[in-house]
Amino acid sequence: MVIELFDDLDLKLTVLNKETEKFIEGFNCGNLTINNYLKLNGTCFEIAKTYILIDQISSKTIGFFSLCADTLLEREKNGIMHFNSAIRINMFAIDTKYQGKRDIGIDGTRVTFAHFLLIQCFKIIREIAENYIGASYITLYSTLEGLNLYKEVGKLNVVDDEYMMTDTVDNIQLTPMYREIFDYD
Amino acid sequence: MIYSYPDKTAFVVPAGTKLKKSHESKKNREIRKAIESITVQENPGTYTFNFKKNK
Repeated sequence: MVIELFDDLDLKLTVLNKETEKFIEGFNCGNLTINNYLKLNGTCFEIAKTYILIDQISSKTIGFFSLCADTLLEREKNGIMHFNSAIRINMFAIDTKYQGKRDIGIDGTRVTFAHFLLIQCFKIIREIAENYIGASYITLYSTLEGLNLYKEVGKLNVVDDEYMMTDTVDNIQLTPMYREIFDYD
Repeated sequence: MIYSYPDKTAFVVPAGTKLKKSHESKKNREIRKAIESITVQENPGTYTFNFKKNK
């Protein structure tokens, strides 16, 4: 299988910290809240651990995701709640310059950076659950634009519960989604 | 473009929910395996990729 990178890029995925925060200069996903979070709190691991996909040639960030600990509650009819450990994809975004670009070719099929980064994100979540802290589920709130990616590539399910309807935060319509971490065969 | 956005609402599902066993298409599975196969962990938290350069 031939995996090609068509443009002149040198990709690297790394944790956002004091050494790597220079790469997020100029990052713009089209949402001011997310842009500001990345600049002001992106290195704050008490909120979430952030990973950035960078191009080492241009020293730019193509996209990022941030992960944090979460709980998935199972509600009995009598009101008793049971908890399951989870890892939440708190944020996931791609810079507008790279949005929809299909620079990665796999045997002739070209995939987007979002597709590529989501696979890396799941890989890291599996490593965390296997090596550092046990967890059963992946949880996230998807934007309307993210639904297709998460359904088709991420295989996530929309939460079917009367208390977990589609929510609107900062005028963004969000849909709760989840899946088991070790769903692949 | 943003795909995931933070929301502080807790995740609640009805007890005994059987998750629909998700089907990964053959094509998506091949793509995933291929991408994972070129991923190299440099050190904890840092990954590089062995792409075939087209230029």
